[in-house]
Amino acid sequence: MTFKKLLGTSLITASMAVSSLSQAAPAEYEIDMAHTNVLFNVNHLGLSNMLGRFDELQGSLVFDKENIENSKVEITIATASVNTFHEKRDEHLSSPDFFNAAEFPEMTFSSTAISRTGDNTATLTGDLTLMGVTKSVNLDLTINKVGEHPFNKKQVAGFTATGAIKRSDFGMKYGVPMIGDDIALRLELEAGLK
Amino acid sequence: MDLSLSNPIVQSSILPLCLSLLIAAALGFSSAKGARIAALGVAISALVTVIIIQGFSFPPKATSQKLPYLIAAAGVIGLIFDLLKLKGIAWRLAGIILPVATIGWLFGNRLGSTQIDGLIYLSAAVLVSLFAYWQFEKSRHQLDSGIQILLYCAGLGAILMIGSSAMLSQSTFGLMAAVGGFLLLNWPKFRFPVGAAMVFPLVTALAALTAQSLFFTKASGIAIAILIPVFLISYLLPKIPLLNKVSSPAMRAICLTAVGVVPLGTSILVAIMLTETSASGY
Repeated sequence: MTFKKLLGTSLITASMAVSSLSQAAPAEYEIDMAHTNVLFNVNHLGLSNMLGRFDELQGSLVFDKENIENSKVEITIATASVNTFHEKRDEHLSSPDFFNAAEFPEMTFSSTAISRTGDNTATLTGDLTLMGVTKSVNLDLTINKVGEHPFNKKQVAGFTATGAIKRSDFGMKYGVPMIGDDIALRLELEAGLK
Repeated sequence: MDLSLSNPIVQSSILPLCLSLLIAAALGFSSAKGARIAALGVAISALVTVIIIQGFSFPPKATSQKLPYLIAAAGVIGLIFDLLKLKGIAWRLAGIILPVATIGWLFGNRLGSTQIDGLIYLSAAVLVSLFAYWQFEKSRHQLDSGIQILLYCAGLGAILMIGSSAMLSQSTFGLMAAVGGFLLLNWPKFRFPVGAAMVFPLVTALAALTAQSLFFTKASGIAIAILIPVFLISYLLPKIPLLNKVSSPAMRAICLTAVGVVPLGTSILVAIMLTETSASGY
C-alpha cells in the first residue's frame, strides 16, 4: 500500500468517525414552557391526594438522542408560583410553614447522571435544592417521543419524569404526618432543537 | 377531642401550659435554689413546643429552623444568670447583646440587600426585645412583665394566623401558653421570681418571631406596631382612674390584662383589615 493510499484511507476513516460523532453530539434544546409542567401531589389527612404545580419555571436541556447518558437538564422553579388551584392554600404553601418563598425564592434541579434502562426509559439522577438543602434524587424518565414536530417540522423531544421525595429531608417538616411527608413528583417536558 | 401530639391545639396550648406548670412547680417547690430557677420551666416548655410544632433541623437552614437553637442558648445563658444571681449592668448588657446577636444570626446575610422597610422591621424586632427586657428587669417579683409577654404573644399569634403562617402562629401561641402555665403557678399568690431562664429565651424567641413575621409572611407591620405598646401598660395603669387604686397583686394582674386587651384587640382588628390575603375559605 502506497503512502498516498494509506493517507486517503485514514482520512476517509477519520471523516466517518467525525461524522458519526457529530450525529451523536449532545444538542441544545429550548424548553417549551407552554408544554412543560412540574407537578406534585401530597396526601392530606389520609383523605385525599392534593395536586399542585408550579406556574413559573425556566431551564435548559442538552439532549443526545443516541447517547442519552450525555444529556443534561437544569430547571429553576419560582417557589412562590406554587399553584394548588386554591388561592388561600397557595398563600399558606408559600409561607415559612412550607416553601418559605420569601426566604428561599427558588428551588432547582440539576441532573448529575442519566442511565438508560430500556429502549425509551432511563433513570435521571440529579441534585434537588429546596429550602437551602441539596439532596440527590432519582427520577424514572420516559422518552416519550423524539422527532419532527407535526406542525412546524422542527426537531422536538418530549419526556416524562416521575419520582418521590420526603419533604422533611429538605427541612419542610410542618404538619407531618397529617399533611404527608412523601411527595410524588412529575415532570412533563417538551423541548425543541435550537 | 384528639389529644395526640399531632393535634395543633394540643401542640400550642395544652402541652406548653402543662409542661411549663409542671416543670416550674417541680423545680420551684424542690428547694430555695429550685425556686430561683423555677422559670426555667417556661424555657423548657417553649423549646419542646417549638420542636414539636416546627421539627428539628441540623444544621438549620431556614430562619424558623434556628428558633430552637436560640431558645436553648438563651435559656442556658439565663440559667447561668439566675444561678449566679447576676443583675444590673450584666442584665442590661445581655438585654442588648442577645436581641442584636439574634437578629444578626438570623438576618446578617440579608443586611446588605435590606431596603429601608427591612431596617424598620429589624428595628421593630429589637425594640420589642428591649421593651421586654426593660420590663422584666424592673419587675422580677411581679406578674406585670409575664402578662405583657403573654398579651404580645396572643396578638402576634393572631396576626400571624391572619398573615398565613400557621406554624409561626402556633409557635407564638405555644410561647403564650408556656408563659401562661408559669403565671397560673404565680397567681393569685406570687411564688417564684420571673427569672432570666425564662426572660432571655422568651424575649429572644419573640424578637426572632417578630422579625420573621415581618420579613417572610403577610403579617401586617402596622398591626404589630400597634401591638408593641402592650409593653407599656404597667406604666399606664397608675394613670387610669379607679384602676390606679388597685393594690392587691392578684387584682393588679386582672386590671393589667384588661388594659392590655385594648392594644391587643386593636392590633388584631387592624390585621384583619390590612392583611392582603385571599378571601377564599381554607
